[in-house]
Order: sequence, then structure tokens, then C-alpha cells
Amino acid sequence: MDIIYLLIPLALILLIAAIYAFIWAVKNDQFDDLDKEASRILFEEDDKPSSRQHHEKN
Amino acid sequence: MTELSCFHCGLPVTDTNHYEVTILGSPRAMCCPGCQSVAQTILDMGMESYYQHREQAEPGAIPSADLVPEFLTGLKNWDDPELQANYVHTLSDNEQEITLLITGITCAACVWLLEKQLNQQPGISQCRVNLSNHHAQIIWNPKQITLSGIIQSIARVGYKAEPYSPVQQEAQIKQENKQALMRIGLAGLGTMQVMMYAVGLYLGAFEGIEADHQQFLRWVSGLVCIPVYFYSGSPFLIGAMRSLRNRHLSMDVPVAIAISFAFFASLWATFTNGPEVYFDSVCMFVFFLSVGRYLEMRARHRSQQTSIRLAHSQIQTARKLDDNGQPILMPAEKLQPGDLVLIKAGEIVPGDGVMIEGKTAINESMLTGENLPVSKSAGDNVTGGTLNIEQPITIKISHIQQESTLSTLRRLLERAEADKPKTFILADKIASYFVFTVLVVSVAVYSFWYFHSPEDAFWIMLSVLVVTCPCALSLATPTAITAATASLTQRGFLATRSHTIEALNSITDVVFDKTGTLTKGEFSLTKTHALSAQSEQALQSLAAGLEKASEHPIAKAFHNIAEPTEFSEIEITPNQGVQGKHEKQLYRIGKASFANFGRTPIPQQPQAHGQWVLLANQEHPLAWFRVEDLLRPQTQELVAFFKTQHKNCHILSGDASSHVHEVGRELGILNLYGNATPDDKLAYIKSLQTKGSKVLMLGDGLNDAPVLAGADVSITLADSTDLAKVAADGIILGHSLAPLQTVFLLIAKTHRIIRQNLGWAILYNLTALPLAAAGFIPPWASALGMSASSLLVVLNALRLNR
Repeated sequence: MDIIYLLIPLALILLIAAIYAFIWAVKNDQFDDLDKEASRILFEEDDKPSSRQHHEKN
Repeated sequence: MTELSCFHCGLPVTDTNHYEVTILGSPRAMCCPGCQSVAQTILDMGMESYYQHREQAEPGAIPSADLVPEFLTGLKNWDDPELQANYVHTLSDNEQEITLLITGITCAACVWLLEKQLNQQPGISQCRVNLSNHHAQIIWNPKQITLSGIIQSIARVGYKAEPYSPVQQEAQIKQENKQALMRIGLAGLGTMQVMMYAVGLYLGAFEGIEADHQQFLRWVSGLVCIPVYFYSGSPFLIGAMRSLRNRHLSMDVPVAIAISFAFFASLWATFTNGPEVYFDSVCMFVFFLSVGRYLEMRARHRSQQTSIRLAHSQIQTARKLDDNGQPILMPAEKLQPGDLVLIKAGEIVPGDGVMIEGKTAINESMLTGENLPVSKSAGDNVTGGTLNIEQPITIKISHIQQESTLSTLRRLLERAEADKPKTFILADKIASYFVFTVLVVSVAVYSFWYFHSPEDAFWIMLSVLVVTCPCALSLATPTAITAATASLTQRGFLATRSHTIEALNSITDVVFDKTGTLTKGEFSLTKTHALSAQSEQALQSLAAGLEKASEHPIAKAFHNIAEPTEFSEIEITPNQGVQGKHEKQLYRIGKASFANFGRTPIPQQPQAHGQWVLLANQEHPLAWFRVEDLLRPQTQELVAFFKTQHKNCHILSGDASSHVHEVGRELGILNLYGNATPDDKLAYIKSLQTKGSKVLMLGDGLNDAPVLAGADVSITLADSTDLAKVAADGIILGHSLAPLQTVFLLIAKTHRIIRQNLGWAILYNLTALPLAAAGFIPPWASALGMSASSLLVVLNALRLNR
């Protein structure tokens, strides 16, 4: 089980990277508006009248 | 009969005219042409899925679309570079940036609709709408679209936008939010790692592990735990230190003691090869509690942001007269003493001053509560914030903004707020007993084991501390309060302070302001008494034709009468009445002495009490009309409800006493106090409080603001003045007082749940304590018990959301 002497320090490096990425995301306003992003998936992006006409043509 | 409500805004459809739009495949009724055109625009832009995904809002929460045209009239002012200077940042020649505050956003669908609409406008290069603070950040090209064009395109889909500069408090909220997220993120990631090492350690304890490996895992766990303890745990440590310095035991104290003991004991065990490490418990504990606190904070922030938004005063513009007597538009806050300002009829007076020219009636209801206007002529003083009703006037500004009457009221408010009674929080009371007991027991356990088995003494004491870890206890109240706050917001009540929900439960006295709170604050026509042979309908349309020209509150009672008679040569005499010509006959309406063309005797008024208006022509009097400030809907039921709850009701009013007695009689309220100034009102509340009463104040006006701040809890309505909203602890988001009844029932339920939660947490701790003291509980069992008890508390609190 001596492999843990290698694997755990590697995991720690990944941990530091994860924490760094998270802090970066928070500081860049990625978590600014949690309510909006939660429901964004519900809305269809191609709902424009132009694209609808496009569908009719096909 | 079921009442039909508008598919777009939710207000009842009362008009007999039929407005309809076909949405999502079936025809939908609309309340007004405004909503119809907004709905049609939304469809035409291909954004129909808005109606599919939006959440149904409270009726009235979306600004009624017919208000929009009125608001649009002053819009062109915004293209003026002078006014823009404070709000617009110029990024480059082709790019300008602004933050707009948007009124009417209720859910994510609104945000989607707005972003979509704005991104379709040519000239707008970027637009981000934030759902939690309702700000829209827009970057546009001034050569392709004007600012007023942007605001107009937002209005076309039914929202109202205003230039906005964020206040300090919002920056603070944002900062707090970010910091809390970073703490949670660190604690969460750290916990995952340490738990993994803990699995290795536990398995090792059962199946055997090499001493070197065990030691290595302990060291790594400790290393990861250090930032979690010092960074993520710091709010608890600092909170505990602060409350110890104030000699008061709060919930933070047992939390800090538990994590500190567990952390340092584990470090000690790592150095000295002791029997047990608790790094996983420390991390998990910090993580759970941080999440709990974060959810509580978010609910609080959301209420705060709503109240900041509601209290945001509209940017006031003033028409300053330059040396040539030409009016120039400027922001009201930049007015200097000595400036001459033109105020048109229907505009708000921008600052304190003396009238130079003109003769008008001014509505001072926001200062005095009296909703009948006061006559003013040259030489009289006028107060900033009051409303000019009848004629254009010119005033000379006498004070700078900071010294105006409004600012004086604001200072009174601050003073009242400073000595507002503190609410005692149940959880803190229990915490102080709890901490004390746990400390005494731990010391007792330690000394007992010290004599029987000295090497186990420290570890058994530690497991007592960990097992009694007050996780469930400290989550019991905040989770319930958070759930209740969210649930109340859905029911149309916004709790804006952290103590509102705790404090509402112990209220003994309810004090109402009269005008604008119990009553609507606007007059309605309730009786027509004919003095001639004409029909009531004919008389009413004569009156409506004359009053159409006036903005006086009494005149507004006639504004919604159908088919007003046409009049010519209309003349308004401030605070007396209106005269006009119809078919070569002069007619007058208003005060009896004026309307009767000076003839005596004046015909007998049908009843002694109430407001009566006389209509007459040149030959003889025609009719008496009675106008009344009617009670808000369902006020009677509310007062009856308070009586069944054994709460004393009072009415405090700023205007003349006779009407106060009428309203009191109608509602069955005996404690009445009329003609009160803001100081009198505050004194009245103070005298109730010294008798030991807990006072709930309901008010709406500027003059109520200091009383609202001084009461134990205060509630105001959505259509109240800005200052009242700032002072209040809660805001009713509609136009009726009815939600209060639901609020009180839900608050009673909240307190039941808090008590259940606290009861359960204490029971769990009491059962676990003797077992731990006897040395029977291994660390994994204590961690499991802690999580299970916390989960139960959270689930119980979530029942409030149903």
C-alpha cells in the first residue's frame, strides 16, 4: 500500500486546483444569479418567428 | 360566479369590454388594452414560451400595463446628457453602459423575456438581467438607439425600467454572498477529501493498518482540515468570541467549542500517536453548518434586496428657471437655495420653498395623513415631496435638500430606530443553558474518568463534546425561519428584517394608521341625493363632466363615471370647486358656499356626517353627492380575527377626529386617537410599550415612518411611501390587508415547528450524553447520530413550504 505516498499527494494537487477553480468562478460572478440559470434550460432558444417560418418551409 | 382574471397580469377583469388574445392555443381574457398590447407584442416577437414557464404572480405584482403610458411621457428627458451624466458610463465612442432597475420581474421567465426582447433591438450589444436584484446591465451604441428607446422597448413587453445606481448595501450583500460561497466551497471540497481518508482509517481500525500508513493518513487529514477550520470555520469562531466578550452565550459558543476541541485534540493525537482523530467530524460539521447559514443568509438577502428595490426613490427632476425665465430640467438634488423652480399641476414639489407666483391646492397627505389638499398662494411655504394638484406655480427654494422637512423626518426615524426594543431570540436563550450544562457535564465526566482510568479520560470527554455537538440545535431555528420567510413571500408578505418572524409571535397590541392603511386613501362616490327632477344618472354625468378637469382627490371620485357631459369654459378655483358651461347654462360643483353661486340659504345637507359636495346651476341647486374614503377590502375580517386572537386594536390618525370615530365605530375599535403629529404617535406607542405591550404598527405615510421604526414590529403596504418602507420590518405586497391573517397563522405554525425542532434536538442530546459519558459511543456512531438529527430538523422545517 505504499502507493498512497504517491497517490495522495497527487490527489492533494488536484484538490488545490479544484479549490482554485472554484474561487476563480466565484470571483468572476459565475454564481451571481443562481435562480436564473436554474431555469434557463426550460426556454427554447430557437423560438423566433424567423426560425418558425424556416420550419414551415421544410 | 367565478371571477375572471387577466391572463397577463392577474388582476380581475371588470370591464364589460372584451379584450382577448389567443395564447398557447386558446383565447385568454385581458383586463385592459394595455395588457392586450403587451401580450400581443410578446407573441409577435415569438416569445410565447414566456407564458408556459412563468410562475403565476400575485395579482397586482406586475405593474398594470395601463400605467405605462403615463410613465412614458417624461421619458424623453432621459436623452438629455446632463441627466445621463450620473448613470451612464461611456466605454468608447460606440458603446455606453448603464444599469437599469426593472419593476415587474417575478420569475425566470420574465428575465428570459427581457433579455430576448433587448437582444433583438438593433444597437444593443450586450444585456444581462439579474433575477435576484432585478438589475439590467445594458451596453448599447448611442448612434443606433437612444436610452429612451431602450426603456420604451422594455415597456412594450410590460415592464418599467429606470436608470439606477446601486446603493452601498447591495455591494455589501454581494461581497457577503461571495465570501460565504468560498467558505462553503472550501469546506465541501475539504470534507470530501478528509472523509475519504477517514474511510481508510476506520477500515484500518477494524482490519488492521500499518502504523506508518495510519500516521500518514492522519497527517494528510490534518493538513486538509487546517484551512477548513481556520477559514470556513472562522465565522463561528469570531461569533463565539464576540458573544463571550459581551458576556452572553449564543449558539456560536457551543459550535466553536465543539470544533475547536475536536480539531486541537485530533492534532494532539496526531503528534502523540493518540487513540482517535476527529478531522472528518470537524470538516463535516463546519460544512453542514455553513450550508445552513448560507441558506438563511440568502433568504435574508432576498428580502433585503426587495426592500432596497421598493424603497428606491424615483429620480426626481425639477424645472429650474434660468435668468431668462426659461425652464431647464435638472436632478432635484442639485437645487440650491434661491433657485426658482416651476412646478406644473400633477407634479411633486422638488424641495422646501416659498411660493412666488400662482395659486393652487397642494396635497400634503404624505406629511400629515390628511388626504384633502390645502390651498396655497404666493408667500406660503411648501414642503418637498408634496403634490401640486391644480395650477402651475413657481417657488423659490429655501433649504438645500439635506436640511429639508423630509430629512428632518428621516432623522426622527433614525432616532426611533436606535431605541427600538430588542427581540429576544428563543434559540439563544436555550443555547446559553445548553452550553452551561454541556460544560459542567464534560468537566464532571473528565474528573470521574480521571480517577478511574486516567488515559481514557480526555478521549471520553471529547466524545461527550462531539456527540452533544449542537448541530441540530443550531439548525433548528434558522431552517424554520428560512422556510417561513420563503413561504410568506409566496403568500404576499415580505419580512425584511431578521427578527420580524420571531417578534410577530409575541404581539399583544395592533396599532393602525387610518388614512391609506385602513382606508384606501382615495375617495369614492357613495350616495347621490337629488334636489331637482333630473335622474341620478344625469346628475352624475353632469358632475363627472365638471370634475374631469380637476385632479383634486374628491374630484377623482367622479372620474370613473361613464359618459361625462361635455363642458366648455371650465374654470378651477383652488380648494373651492369647478365651474363650466353646458348648453348656455353655467354649472358649479364643489363646496356648498361656492357651488350655490353665493345664494343663501344653502340647501340642507342630507346627513350631518360625511363629505358632501354640491352641484348647482345658475338658477337652483341640483344635487348633493356624498364621497367617502372607503375601507380597504377585508379590513373588517382582519380586525375580527385580531379580536379572536386577543390582541388589542388601536387607531392612530393624523387627520381630524370625526372621521376617525366613524371608522372606529364601523370596525368596532375603541382605542382611537386623532389629530396626532408624528411625535404624538411615537409617544403613544412608547406609552403602550412601557405598560409591557408588544406593539405591531401598520402604517403607510411619511408621517408614520418614525412610529414604524419605534414599534416592536411594523408592517407597511406596497403602495406606501419610500420612507415608510425603509422603516418597516415587513411589507404586504398587495393592496389589501387580508394577507396579514395568513401571516399570523403561518407564524404560529413556524413557532410550533421551532419548538418541535428544539425539543427533538435537546431530546437527542440528552439521550446521547449519558451513553457518551459512559464511554459507549464510538466516533462513527456519533457522526451518524449528528447527521440524522440534523436531517430530521431540516425536513421538519421544510413542512412550512407546503
